[in-house]
Amino acid sequence: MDDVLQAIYDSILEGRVTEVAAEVQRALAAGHPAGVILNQAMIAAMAEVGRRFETMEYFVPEMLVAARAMKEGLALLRPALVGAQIEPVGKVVLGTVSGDLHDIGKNLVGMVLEGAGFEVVDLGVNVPPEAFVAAVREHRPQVVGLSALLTTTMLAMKATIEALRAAGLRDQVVVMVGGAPVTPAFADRIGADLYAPEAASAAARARSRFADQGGAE
Amino acid sequence: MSSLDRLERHRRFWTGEPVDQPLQGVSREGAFFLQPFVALGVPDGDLRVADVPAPPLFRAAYYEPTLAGDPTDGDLLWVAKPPRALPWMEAIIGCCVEVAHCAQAMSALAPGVLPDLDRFDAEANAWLGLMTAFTRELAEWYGLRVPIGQTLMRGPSDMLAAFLGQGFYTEMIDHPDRIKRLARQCTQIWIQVLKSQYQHIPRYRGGYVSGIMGIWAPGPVAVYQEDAAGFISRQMYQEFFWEGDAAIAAAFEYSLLHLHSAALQHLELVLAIPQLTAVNVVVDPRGPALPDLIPDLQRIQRAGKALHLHGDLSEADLQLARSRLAPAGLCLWVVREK
Repeated sequence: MDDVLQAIYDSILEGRVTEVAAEVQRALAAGHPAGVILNQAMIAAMAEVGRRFETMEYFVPEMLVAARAMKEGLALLRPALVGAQIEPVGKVVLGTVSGDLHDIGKNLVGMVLEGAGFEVVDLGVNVPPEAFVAAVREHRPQVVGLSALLTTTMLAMKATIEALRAAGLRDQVVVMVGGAPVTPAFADRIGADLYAPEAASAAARARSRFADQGGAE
Repeated sequence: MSSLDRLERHRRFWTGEPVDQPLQGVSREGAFFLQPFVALGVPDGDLRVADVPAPPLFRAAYYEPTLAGDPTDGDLLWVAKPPRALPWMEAIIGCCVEVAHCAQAMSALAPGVLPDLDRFDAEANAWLGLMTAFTRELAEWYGLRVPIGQTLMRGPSDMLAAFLGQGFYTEMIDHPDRIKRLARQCTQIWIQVLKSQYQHIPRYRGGYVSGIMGIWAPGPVAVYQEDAAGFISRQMYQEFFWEGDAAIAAAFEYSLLHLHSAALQHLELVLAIPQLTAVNVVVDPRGPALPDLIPDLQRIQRAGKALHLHGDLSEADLQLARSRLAPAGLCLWVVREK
């Protein structure tokens, strides 16, 4: 890998925000195409962060600072990406379900998805089913991500899926669920399409699902 | 049926002296701890101390019906305690409390303006005052008839995770000294709060009963948890929270630290807390299955700590636990997922 791309990769991996910004500017000034910076340095770094999270070399603090660095770099890169007509790999509407005010897991998933090249529409916490329905109508995402931390709010995931079905939108989106109490069996039972045990795997599973459907890879 | 008296078996749980079978109970409390608040008309949204119905109203709405329903839990005792739905410790340090009826839960949120914990004043703290009012009323109503105990009190990392929100995790990397200072302050407040409660908790048959677990001990028991620390590395736990957890264990005669099976990366460090008496492991639905946990559970027993195992344990799980774990210093607590 080129020195400047390697520097971006390393800075994201170690969560060094200021350095990522400087290196992205240096890479652009040196004439590196935005798509190359994004794919070879930034997305590759976040993939490595995800790998380290899954193998318990990284935990939430390391992942959050890496994602924060990625976000900073992406903000600088975005005009160049638009100029080069590089589209996001997909769009995700994301939120913590009704009654649940916990946001860290949902935020991590959002940052990781952005790091994997998705456009993320974050609806926040305590999002009622009808707000998910409205957001799907407005943003036309390919994926809806539902997060819950409490056993008592998991059922709101089912209510959200049912609301999407009642609105005739269920078949237009892939519904991904996750959160501490959520299990694959529960995801199956409520009719979700994807289950992500933690943030790192959410992006990989969403990308893989896209590939299966002939979308981005 | 054991030949030993129930309280003697409880005492031996803490000391690890021989018993013929472990303590065992099936919780009948369920997960809907918000119900008495809903029954008393507490609305959705922000909750201030003044919005909480007075303790005597809870007597009719919660404590008396619970007692009338015989809440005995196998070998374990039911303990009257301040309502556990409230995030007491988070509220005491200044977090906002939010009620969500549909979630059957209350959550603690980071306050808009962070109070200076150096200026924590126990005497003037309204949430601590309410906790004490509950404990005193319970002692007055039930005296020596029903054990009164500690309610759910989340530990320093959980307090800080609520206090700082997501910043809790990033600040450990960005400003470690600040988090260390806040963790020390939370630890001291935690100890101060529980000690203040023990001033009003009457002895029950010569000892005290751990509020959440229902296990009698000859002296005061501290039950605490560090769920937020389950999302950090072993090194960070050691750097930021080990010392505080050791201080809590040292401040009370008996102590029990709650851990999750999906986050046992700190187990070795927890077992190195010299005065910690017991470790609780909850078997998470997403964590390793019980057979895969057995080596860690045996490690806890080999380290001389009592082991309190809880979760939605099947009959096969219970048989496995009984066959692979020593009965001395063991409690199996079944909490059925609804």
